[in-house]
Order: sequence, then C-alpha cells, then structure tokens
Amino acid sequence: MSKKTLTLMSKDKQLFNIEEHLAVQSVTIRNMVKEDGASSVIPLPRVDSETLALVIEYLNRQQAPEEDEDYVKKFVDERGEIPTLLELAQAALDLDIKKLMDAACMKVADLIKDFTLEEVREALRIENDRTPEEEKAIRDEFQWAF
Amino acid sequence: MDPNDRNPRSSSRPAKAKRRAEPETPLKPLFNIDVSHTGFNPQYPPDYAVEISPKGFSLKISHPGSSSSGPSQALHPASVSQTSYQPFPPPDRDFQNQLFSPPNWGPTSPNSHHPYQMIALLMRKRLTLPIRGRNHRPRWSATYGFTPPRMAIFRVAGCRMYNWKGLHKAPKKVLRVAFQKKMADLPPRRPSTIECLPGELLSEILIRVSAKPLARMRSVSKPWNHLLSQPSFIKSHLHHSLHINNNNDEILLVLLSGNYDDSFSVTAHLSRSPHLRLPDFFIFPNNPDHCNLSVTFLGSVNGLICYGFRTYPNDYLIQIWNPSLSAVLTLPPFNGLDWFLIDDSTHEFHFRFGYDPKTDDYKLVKFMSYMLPPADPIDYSYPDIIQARRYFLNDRNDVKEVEVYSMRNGSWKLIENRLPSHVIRITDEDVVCADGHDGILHWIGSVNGNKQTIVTFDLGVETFGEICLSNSVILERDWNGLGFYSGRLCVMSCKKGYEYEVWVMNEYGVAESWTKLRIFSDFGVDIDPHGFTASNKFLFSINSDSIYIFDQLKIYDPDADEVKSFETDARDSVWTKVVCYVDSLVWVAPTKQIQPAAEISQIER
Repeated sequence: MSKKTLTLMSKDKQLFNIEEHLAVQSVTIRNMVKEDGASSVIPLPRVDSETLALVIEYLNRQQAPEEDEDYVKKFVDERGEIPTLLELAQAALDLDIKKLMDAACMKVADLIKDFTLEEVREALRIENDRTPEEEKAIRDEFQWAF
Repeated sequence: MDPNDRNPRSSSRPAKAKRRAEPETPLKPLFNIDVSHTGFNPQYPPDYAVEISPKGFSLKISHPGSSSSGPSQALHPASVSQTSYQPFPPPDRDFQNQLFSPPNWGPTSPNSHHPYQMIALLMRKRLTLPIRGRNHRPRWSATYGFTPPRMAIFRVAGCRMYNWKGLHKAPKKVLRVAFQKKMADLPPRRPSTIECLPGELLSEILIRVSAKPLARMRSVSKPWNHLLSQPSFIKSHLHHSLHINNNNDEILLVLLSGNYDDSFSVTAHLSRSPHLRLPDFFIFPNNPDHCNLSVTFLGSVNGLICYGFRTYPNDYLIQIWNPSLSAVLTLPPFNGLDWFLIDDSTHEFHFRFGYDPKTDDYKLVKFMSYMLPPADPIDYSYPDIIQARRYFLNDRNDVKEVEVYSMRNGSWKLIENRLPSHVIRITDEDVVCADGHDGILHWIGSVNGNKQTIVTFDLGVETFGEICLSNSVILERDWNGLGFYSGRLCVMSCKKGYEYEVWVMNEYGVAESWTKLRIFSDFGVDIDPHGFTASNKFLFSINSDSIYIFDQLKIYDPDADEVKSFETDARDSVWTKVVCYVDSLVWVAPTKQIQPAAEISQIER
C-alpha cells in the first residue's frame, strides 16, 4: 500500500513532504485534510522553514507510544535556545500538536522561571518600559517575591 | 585519469595513485539528509561551499592550500580542471550547473536565506553529491555551515586531507550532513521578541511558570503586568495547576494537632513519595505577635488555605493564606467568638471554606450550634474531645446563626437561612479538605431515624439545600464521610465492623447516580477511609485498637496499586487534616476599603 504524501509549504515558500498518516498528528492539518482532501500543497503562512523542518523531524519520529513523553522532552531539550523554542512552540500551537506545544512551552517556562527580571527581558527581548519609580512601587508591593 | 595531471600532493602518495587506477564504480545517488548535530570545528576548513542567492544556489570548491580562505572556485568542469587541487572527482552533473535554481524556489527576499532552504532543496530534488575518497569509495561525512555572507558550506571530510574519524569506517549509505550554525556570526534570525508573539503563546508559556516567579515577572513590562493581572490569566494558570500538572508533583500538606497539648505539626509531602518531607516548603505564616496554638485547617480551595488558631492569651484568629504568594489575610472577629473561646463544649462551630464561581469570590461559612447531650448514654472511656463530637446539634433550638465571610467584601454577614429543619446533627470531620470548588459546600447531616443526608450550602445565593444519599448507604451505617473523587462528590461509608464502601455521585444532585467504587474495597485490614487527593489517590489510616493512638496516615495509588506511608511527627495526635497544595496566583483583594481588623500582611519567606 502506498502511503499518501502531503506537501507543506512554509512561510518562505519552501516545500516539505511528509506522509499523511504522520502529518495528521497535527489537528490543524487533520482538519485541512478532512475539508478539502489536501490534494495540493498545504500552506503554513506563519511557520518558517527552519521551524517547519523541526516540526517535521518531530512528526517523523519513530517512537513507541510509551517512550513518546521522553522523546518529546529530549527533542526540546536539544533545542535549548529560547528563540528556537518560541518559534517551535508557536508552530506547534498553530498546527495544534499538543505534546510538542506542551513540551516546548514547559521548557521555556523552566528556563525563564529562575531568571532575574533583566534576564527575562534580555532572553525575550523585551524593553523595560517602566520608570525606576514605578518599578520600585511594584517591588515594594511584591517584596516577598524578590 | 592520468596521475600526472593530478594534484602534486597525490604524486607524493603512490599508494593512492595505484588505487586511483582501479576502474571507477558507478556512483550511486546518495542519500537522505540527516540534519543533526551542531558544532563547528575550525580545524577543518570547508572544501565545498554552496552559495545561496535569490536565484538559486551554486556549489563551489575551496582551495585548501591557498591563503585565500573561503570558497574560491566555481565548481564546474572547467574551473575544476584549472585548479591544482583535485582530491575528489568532479561532482555529478547535477552539480555541474553553477547556478542551481529549481522552479519552486519562489520569490524569496535576500534576507530569508536560510540553511534549511537548501536542505529542503536537496531533499526535494534528491540531489546527489558524489564525493570520493581513496579506493573510489564514497566518503559521506560532511558538514556545512553558514557564514555571514549567507553562504552554505559543505565540508567534505574525506581522504587524506583531514583525519576525519569517519574515514576509517565503512562507507555510509547515508550522507550525514552535519549542520552547524554559528550563532554569533549570524545576524538575529528573526525578531523574536515575545511581544510580537501572539498573547496566546505567551499565556501558554506563562501558565507553566509557578506563581512565585510569576508574581515577580509582573515587573518585566507593562504588557506583562497587564496579562498577569488579568482574571482570565489567573484562572488559566489555576486550571493548569489543578488539572494538568498535578499527577506527578502533587504536594500534600498534612496537619496533625495534638489532643491534650496544643502541639501541632504541618509537613509537606509529595504524594508519590509521602515518606519524605519537603524541606523548607511549608513556612507557616507565623505572626510574631501571636503564639500559634492548635491550628485547624478550615478548608482549602484553588490554592487558598483557610485555617484558624488560638492565640495567647485568649483569642482566635482565622486567616486565609496563599502559600504560593505568601500572602495572608486575617479575618475580622466573628459573632459568637466569646462562646468559641469559652470552649465549654456546649457550643459547636462548623466552618467551611469554598469558592463561588458566580461571584468569583471566596467565602467562609460558619455556623454555631448549641449542643444538647447525646441521647445515648455517654461512654466516659472516650476522651472529651471525642465526647464532644458525639453531641447533638439540634437545629430547631440551637443553631444560633449562620455567618458568611466574603473575601471580596472583606466582612462577615449574617444569613437568615437555616438548615433544613429535619436535620438534627451536622458532622464535619472530613480529613481531606476538598470541598467547595463549585460554589457549593457539603456536610453530612443526620436526620431523625438514624438516617443520613447531605446538607449543602450554595455560596452564590447563600441558601441551604439537601442531596439524598443512596438508599444503600443511608441505613445501618456507623459512619459516613464526604470526599471528592475525580471532581465528583463521594461518600465513604463504614458499616459496623469496619467494612467500608466508597460511593460516587456520577451526576451531581441526581440521587440515582450513586455508584459504588470497587477499586478501594479491600486492603485486608480495618482502615479508616479519609478521602481522595486531587489525583485520585486514596488516603486512609489503619485502625488500631487504642483510641489514643492516631494511626499513621497512608496513601494508596490505584494506578500503581501500592500503599505508602507518610512520615509525620505527631503519632499521638487526634486531628489530622490534609490539604492538596495548589500553585496558584489567586488572591482577592477586598473591594471595599480594608477594614481595621482585616489586615493584609506579607510574610517574608
């Protein structure tokens, strides 16, 4: 029996092939396949090709179900950089791949939870938009948290 | 090939020349590309480079001997023949086109060139990259990297050039293109500020962070403060703590308090390893002005714990505490406090704490009753405190008042509503504080004729109600206790002789839906069932002959089918309460101005 192959197109118009029975782990893709049969290319306008390659690597995994949890954990652990993880989490969220999304978000959460405020801002590239007085007021309010 | 035409290096190696003379085996198309492994080793400069341009990519060959670093020669037959360096035969025809521009390349901007683009290209086209080493055997170990001018570099590890460890192995069928990214050299791949990510993703991440760091992260920026303060976010965070995260890391707080002395101990345990105490987890808010005596947990819901304690010289304080936030609210005094403090065993106080989703408020319900002596003869071999529990609560005469404290209002309020008139006694000896999640509080009530029923109190409309027990658990029961199993109301029912059953109400409020749980039926010994944790582990203790010894608390995990014991201090204590710890951001600040008696104090950890 020949396995049906789907073609996914990333934001930057790169095409990726994946077998349909693997691709439908993504609920989004599953719904798309259901709706129009997915004869043609499935565009994923919010996922860039680097991230999509990661997602496809994940979908192509050959793990037994009982090892799956460990695999997902290891998969995101190996990509321990926050920008990559954010992209991966976003893609998994868009594609509705729950386990991958959980694991990627969990990993980011684990990474940032021990950060200082400055480290959080730096890691996630956020500008501090508070004046020192405002910051002091919040620090006083939540003194026990620091 | 004539050996004389070759690289001078090769002429110094006659062995190679001999091998080169062997007939060429036809090159087979390669490989799947395995993208893995990052790691740049500057010891091994690249041989081949793939240059990516908006039009396509071209493969170039580098000049290892020359000082000009980087790819220098375009790779096509003419240019290859001009170089003096020819470690490998020229690549196959696919690569002889200097510019490779597949039809599907698409209109890409110069900024979007990307390592994976090329991989995708190779994968799609199934390009072969014929590389040969000695013996004309293909050498497949290769790597490529990216340099700032957006250049993909293949480094082919092969031959004598580099002592690549893969050389001495059998030729691989699969070309392993190890992919390396030199992050420092690359411009930021994309603007990855979390603010340009949708709030949905940010929420998904932040609900997985525990409450204490989150409280601190409110200071990260204003949008964060806004997000983290939103009730909807706090609810999602709570939902995640309650339902998703609790199976492996469920933490139980165990309170034991003594009978004759005022000692008590509070310990925290992981429900999967209850024999260990979590060190420094539990820092009971200890007001320096007061001496904590006889603490009692009054209830716990959504991470808030409500407890009361006697203070020196003679006062009783009730506090609501969020251990995740270390926030404590001290309640103002309630009506009947004088009676409570006298403790002459004539007044009994029932407290229960719960959450009302309708008003998004946390409420503590208190009712005081005047106790009559029990109708049956008093057995003086029991301690006083047990004696007191055997007293009657006679509603018609003796329920003085019902008072409700609302956390949102910050005040107590007297309620006119009374218990159903046929209920003559209320028991609230539950060990596991699990009630009050859905806006309704529950007690076991006795009605005339030695029957029992469930008395409810709706926190939203603040009225009492009743739920009927299954007929099979009403009669001839020594004791019924309330609990929650999988979020459903359940009754642990003991017959005479310590047989017990667990009944679950599958459909709330429907008396026909009581179903007997079979899995918790037999431990081979007499036990006191206490209830279920949030992850449906069963708490109980084994009955001992002596009433003075409170038996060690145990926990049964139905999934693993094993029983574990808690390691706790006070083995001679009478009162046990267990609270499932929930990491939670929940805190309700009173909307009114804080009343003088209700002070919010922050406890330094």
